[in-house]
Amino acid sequence: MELEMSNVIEVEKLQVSYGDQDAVQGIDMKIAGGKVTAIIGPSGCGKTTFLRSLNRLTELNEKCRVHGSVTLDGEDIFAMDPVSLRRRIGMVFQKPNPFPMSVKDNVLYGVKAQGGRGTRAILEESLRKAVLWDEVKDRLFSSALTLSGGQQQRLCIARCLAVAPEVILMDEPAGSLDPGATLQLEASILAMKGAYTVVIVTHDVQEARRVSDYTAFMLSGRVVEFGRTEDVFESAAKEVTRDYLAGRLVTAAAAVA
Amino acid sequence: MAAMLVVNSLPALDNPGLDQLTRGEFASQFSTGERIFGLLPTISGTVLLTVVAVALALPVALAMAIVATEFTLGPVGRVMRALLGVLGGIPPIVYALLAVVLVEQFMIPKFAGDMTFATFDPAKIGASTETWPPSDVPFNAGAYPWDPTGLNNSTLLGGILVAMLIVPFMAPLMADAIRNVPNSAREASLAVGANRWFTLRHITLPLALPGIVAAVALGILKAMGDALIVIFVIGWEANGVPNPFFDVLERTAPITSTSAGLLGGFQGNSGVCTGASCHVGYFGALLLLIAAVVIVLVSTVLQARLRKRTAL
Amino acid sequence: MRTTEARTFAVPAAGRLSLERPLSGATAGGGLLAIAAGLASLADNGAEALALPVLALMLMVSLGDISYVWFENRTFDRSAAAIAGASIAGALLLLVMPEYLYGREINGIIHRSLFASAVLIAVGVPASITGVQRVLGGAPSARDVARYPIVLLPVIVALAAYALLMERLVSDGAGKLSWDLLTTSYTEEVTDAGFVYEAGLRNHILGTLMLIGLTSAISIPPGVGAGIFVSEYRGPLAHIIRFSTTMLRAISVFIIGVVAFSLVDAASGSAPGDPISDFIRGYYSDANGFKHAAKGSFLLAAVFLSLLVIPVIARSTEEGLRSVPRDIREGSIALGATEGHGLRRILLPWAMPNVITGLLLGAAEAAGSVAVLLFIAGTGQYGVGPLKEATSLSFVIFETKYGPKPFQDAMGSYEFSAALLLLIITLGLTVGALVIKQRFITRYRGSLAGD
Repeated sequence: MELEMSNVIEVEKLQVSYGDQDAVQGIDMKIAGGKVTAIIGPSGCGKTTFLRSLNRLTELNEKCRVHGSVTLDGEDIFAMDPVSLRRRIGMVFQKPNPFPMSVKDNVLYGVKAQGGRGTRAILEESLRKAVLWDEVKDRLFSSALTLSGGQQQRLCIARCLAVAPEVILMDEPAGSLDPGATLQLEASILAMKGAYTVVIVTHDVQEARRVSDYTAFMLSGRVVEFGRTEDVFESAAKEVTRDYLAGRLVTAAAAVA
Repeated sequence: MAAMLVVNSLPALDNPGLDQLTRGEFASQFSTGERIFGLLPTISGTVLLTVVAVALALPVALAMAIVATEFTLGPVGRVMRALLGVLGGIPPIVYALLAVVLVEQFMIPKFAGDMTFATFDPAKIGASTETWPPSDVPFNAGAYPWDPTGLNNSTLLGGILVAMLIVPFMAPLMADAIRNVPNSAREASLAVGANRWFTLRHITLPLALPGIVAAVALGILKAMGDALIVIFVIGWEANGVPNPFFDVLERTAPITSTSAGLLGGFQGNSGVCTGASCHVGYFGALLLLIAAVVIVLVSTVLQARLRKRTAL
Repeated sequence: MRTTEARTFAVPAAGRLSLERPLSGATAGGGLLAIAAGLASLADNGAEALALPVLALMLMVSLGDISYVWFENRTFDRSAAAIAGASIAGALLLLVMPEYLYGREINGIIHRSLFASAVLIAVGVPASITGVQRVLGGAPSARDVARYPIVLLPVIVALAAYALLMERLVSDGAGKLSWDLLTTSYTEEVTDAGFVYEAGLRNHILGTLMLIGLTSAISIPPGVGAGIFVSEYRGPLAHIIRFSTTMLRAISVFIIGVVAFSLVDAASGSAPGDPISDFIRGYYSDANGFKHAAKGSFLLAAVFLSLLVIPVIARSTEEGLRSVPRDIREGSIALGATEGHGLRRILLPWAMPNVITGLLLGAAEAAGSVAVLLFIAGTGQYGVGPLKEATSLSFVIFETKYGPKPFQDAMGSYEFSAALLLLIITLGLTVGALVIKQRFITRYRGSLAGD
């Protein structure tokens, strides 16, 4: 697939296995900078594993083996210091996981972890970008755990943004949110376009359509189809993709077809 | 049925305990010869010993717990965990024997040197020959200016023994507390660019704190209870209340030892106690029980507070 | 607003002469050397002589660091300065201190090596941390590598202490062990010439075994029962039991002994031959066939030991039952099995490894316990049996210091041997328990057990 923007992340023949089970089998993908790329697919297709391999969180599991190459701005991520890598590629998780600290401390945590000084300016800017500032500006010192689920998730986004990453990975961020909170979340994602590169994994096909510029459809550890969102949704090349988008059941075998 | 034990023992303790108690029980002298049963020295003995033991044991146990849980690369973590299991199987009295070894290898070289009174060289302690021997110390050719056999009775030695006893007890509990910290918190920290040490310090350990507090409380209880083994080293008579900072090398005896001594009447007696000794002995045990309950209550409250703060 | 980590050392361009790597290597090496010297001083007084040279080395290295950083980057290397300062201060302190520190208040003398150790470690730890960190390029992961090993320090010191004990136990204890010792029982006789005694550990060994046996027999039913109760039935009582179990475990060892003693005391009024007295105090017959009451019977000891052991078994059982996966439980109920049936056929077998583990651990407790036996055990000269006077290997260690004089004379030197034997038994039980837990869980339960 040819893409006109510069590609921030280039994945080549990526293979991730847990023990003797392959979760991700040979993925090639180029992720465009400044755009939102969605990864969709049924449960267990490996999309979360793929996402986590991009910031090397897969290494937390001893049994995990990763082969292939992934580059960020041309640098091999596996040759980098993993902690430095994660300062450039941030992640928001499915279930909001704010730290048991105040809102302010949460947002500035990453900054402090990197040895920087957390300033009020960073705090405000990150919260604004996550579309959360207005709701918490009077509550900066109260515990993050008093926020609603949707607010907590946006707080996690703000926390992620505070360290100024280049890329933000999102693993089903709306997974535990109600529809209203989901919409607010999507608003913040849209607000990030242009300044950040976002890769979002979701099982909600419509959400992918709403927020993303590019969509990848994964099945059984492989990328079946990848292209501009409009193209994939309106005129998918493969039948299995069309099936999935229409809500029909797809089997693993179809992936290889 | 464990609960019933508590109920049962109270009457047994109260009955003989209460009536003879009021007589000078908190006096600071204690001597079987003179039949003065002051409990203050023994209480302070327990406190001192427990403080020393826990102070020594806490960092070690915590370090072991961290090694056991965080060193997931390679064999180090696994070896540690196996070691903890093995060390935990050592029965307490064996540690009492350790005292002998420790005295030879550690206490004497560090605290008494290898000189007798006759061969004593005042230059080694920086005193000049004119001021030696100090005039207010009675001259006794056969003795040191300090008593190296006192080392056997030192609180420091007892503290080291008890510390070694409670470390394998506390460390697995702390390790469990660390392991129970939800992975999501750790991942969130790593995902935002913190390294593992920062995560450990700011996220993992604070979240594990309630469990660690529980482990420490149990360690304190065990130290108070098993201080008995110290009887091997220190004996069971607590004579005076030592000054905590300077008399680390003095003799003190914890409640368990003293009560045991009073009740048992050692050195070959038939093991039956008489009169006041009995009552005071029982009272000592009662004190111990009360202290235990207090500690458990305090630790439970503390844990609840900590948990509320982190909403775990 | 990007925050970048300020690197003290710039990455050298190719071709330039750079001293950073060697300098940081020297700092790291020096730091590690200092730590080693500190540990050595702890072990041996003479090693303190190393302190001054090592401190001088650290001083030179850190001065080198400071000057290099100043000339290259025009910044002031604060950590190296701190190390230099600490080295100077420490060296001065050690120079001034006499070999032994003595003060009126301290009832003894303190050797300088203790302070040498403290200084060396205080200088060595920061030096090695910054050194290693920089050698590895200053990346944040490097910081991890530099700091984590510091945690090993207290562990090493502690393990050394445990090793010391083991070594002494083996060398002293094993040396005195002999087949004779194991098979003779301690006996004393009064003859015209005074006491005649025979030293031996046999009765004590048998005593330990008897205690283990009796206690286990008494403890298993209530232990397993309690475990089942706590895990299967909700209710406030279950919580109370669980709570008191944990708490009493740590401290009750002594209390139990006291209570046991009070029973003995209470029974001292009754005469031997009376069943109560027999049960509680045990008895022995002397040369003329008369019954005398002893200090405490095995049965009594076992009863009280079981108070210790039951919670251990109960906890293990509960743990085992709780680990039964929900699907298996629900499967059994869905098929219409009654609770009792499900319990027997499914749950208990599943939890069996845990129960066995609990049993072995409880046995180890029983074997090692001294506090409970404190007042009710004796010298073991009267043989072993449920109603005989109680004794065990653990108790014998205690007796060598506080027992009757003739006993001390005869057996006093065997304390390490007894301890060694005891250790072998308890460790065997403990390790066995752990191994069974591991082995059976994987083999028995297969992949359903999860990880």
